[in-house]
Amino acid sequence: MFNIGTGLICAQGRGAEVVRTADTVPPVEVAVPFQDHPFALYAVSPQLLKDRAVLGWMRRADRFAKMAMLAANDAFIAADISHVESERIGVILATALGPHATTFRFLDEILEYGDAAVSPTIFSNTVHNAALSYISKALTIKGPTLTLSCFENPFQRAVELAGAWLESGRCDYVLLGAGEECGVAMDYIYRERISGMVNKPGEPPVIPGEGFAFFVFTKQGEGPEFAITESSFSALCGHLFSGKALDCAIESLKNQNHLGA
Amino acid sequence: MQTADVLITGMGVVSAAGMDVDSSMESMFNGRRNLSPLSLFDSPLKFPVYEVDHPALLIKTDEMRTLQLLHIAVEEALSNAQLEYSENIGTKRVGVCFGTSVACQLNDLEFYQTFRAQNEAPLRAVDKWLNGNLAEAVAKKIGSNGPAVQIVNACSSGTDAIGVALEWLRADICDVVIAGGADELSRIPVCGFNALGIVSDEPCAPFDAARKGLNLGEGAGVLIMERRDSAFARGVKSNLKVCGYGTCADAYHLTAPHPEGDGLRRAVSMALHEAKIDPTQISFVNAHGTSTRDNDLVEGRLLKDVFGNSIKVHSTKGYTGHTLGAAGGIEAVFAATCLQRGSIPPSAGFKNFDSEIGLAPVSEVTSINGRYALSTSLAFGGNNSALIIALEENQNV
Repeated sequence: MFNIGTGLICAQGRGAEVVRTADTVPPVEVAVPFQDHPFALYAVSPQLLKDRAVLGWMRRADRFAKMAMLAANDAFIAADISHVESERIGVILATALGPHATTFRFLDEILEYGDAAVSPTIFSNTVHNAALSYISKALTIKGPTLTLSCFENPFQRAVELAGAWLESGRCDYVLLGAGEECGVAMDYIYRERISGMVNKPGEPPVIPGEGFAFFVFTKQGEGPEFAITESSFSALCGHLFSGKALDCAIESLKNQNHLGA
Repeated sequence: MQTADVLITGMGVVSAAGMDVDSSMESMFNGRRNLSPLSLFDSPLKFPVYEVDHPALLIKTDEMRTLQLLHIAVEEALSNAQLEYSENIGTKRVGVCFGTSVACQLNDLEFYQTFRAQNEAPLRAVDKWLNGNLAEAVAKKIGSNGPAVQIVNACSSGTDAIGVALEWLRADICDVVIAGGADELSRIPVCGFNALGIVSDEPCAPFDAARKGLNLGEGAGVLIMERRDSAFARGVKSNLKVCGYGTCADAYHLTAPHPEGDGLRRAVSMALHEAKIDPTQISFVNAHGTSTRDNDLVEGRLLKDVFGNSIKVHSTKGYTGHTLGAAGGIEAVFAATCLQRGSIPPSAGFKNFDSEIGLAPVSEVTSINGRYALSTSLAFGGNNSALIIALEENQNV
């Protein structure tokens, strides 16, 4: 299986700029009330979500879907597959936490307005596969679309499934992505529970991050077959439950940058 | 397309229709509809729902209700397949794949309300969620060693989980996959579907001209899917197999189906192609049939167009309610069991022919001939999935 297009959005920026710039963006400090210290996380800049050309029609979409859309769009363009029959392209999105900030927004609606007066739009965006719905519509992808959610290796599982889809002939190309979003309630949960699960003794505590990486996979290609990288770029992007997707994207973009230089 | 034979060697189900496969069938074939007022949480919304009343379901527990429902169905399915917990599972490459809609969300109102008010909150709900990924929790409980993935494709999640299982088995990644779907009744969909204006205050009536919307439900449906060589090696017999799966996006709208059923048409066509059969060989369709205006119109017209208006169609949501991510799993179990019985129960609630649809579901117990059943699922996000289950002539491996 070969990767023929990569898209990335993370704390360091979008696409190739992530690997071209020498300056790195540090984690931002998020105040978490009643905690002794602010909470550090690698956040995606709100400026990156102002790309009207790609996101202009997604006014009602949430941040989770918009980040996913940008990375998916960039991978799709890089792979140059817009001429491919739309039924022959599939999409897979892997996430551990999903659009949880929107779920909390929906709970805000219930608490503030009551069960009978909530927003149907916010509800629609709480659904985990909303992001892929936007992506399939924007890129006119009519093959299989699947969102999967696990805490253990979701990206790896998605890659395995993409390989099976390509081998079985279910589609000829798979646009595959993984990513997470951070939000205030999740920052609290990360601090209270998740950090304890992922921190290793003797090592600096992990800092959570957000962002999305997308790839276009196909059965035939040039160069080495896709493999999940051993490299870790968590010092640039933070820790994401969705696994090594962002690491793979950075590695891929670095290689392209090197080849292009 | 690879076509390694995938047998169904076990099934389990729980919903308001029944606590297991036999009681669900008995209930549906007698036309019983166990609709009740919402009792799981306080809400000013007074819609009737299909709640599960099972002694194993505990309100105060460290496990999510969805997971409790799933364990009931998994236990029945494993026992049915003669695969006991941890005993002979460790020797097989066993994958676990379940669909859900509600269980993937950290949606505990009490936790969030406390967090908002006090900026901290007891983390019991968080722990339940972190330990509540359906596939990972079941894999841990049974001691399986294959992939464990939760599918979150809204209302087609259960069918898509079975589709992923089929892919794993055909790709020889697994010998056995425990697959299906589960979901609990939760405040989020109750409020959300009400806001969308698609919940009925009366018993739902799929495909009826006067249908007013859906009733929400909860439950779990599980298939034990197994490569023929694995079943043979265990000496387990089955005359059921999953032989076709299709899934396609509408690429049209976040919540509404494509008006011409474009994605569903392609999904059905893909499933038929994979099963190597033509539309005339389908004995009956267990339709998604939610009883909403849009779904039933699009789905009914499409089924009539592909299969003709004499196709035997029913929706079992009049017995279970719309169980969201569980629906595909539950309906696969029902479709398989009906194939074995040679008959299907009436489509509950149907009285008035809808000329706009032009297709009437069966309104009484109906005999079926033939070997193939189709189960369809349409989802928020524009995903459409179709599953074909076959009955083999001889029960053997």
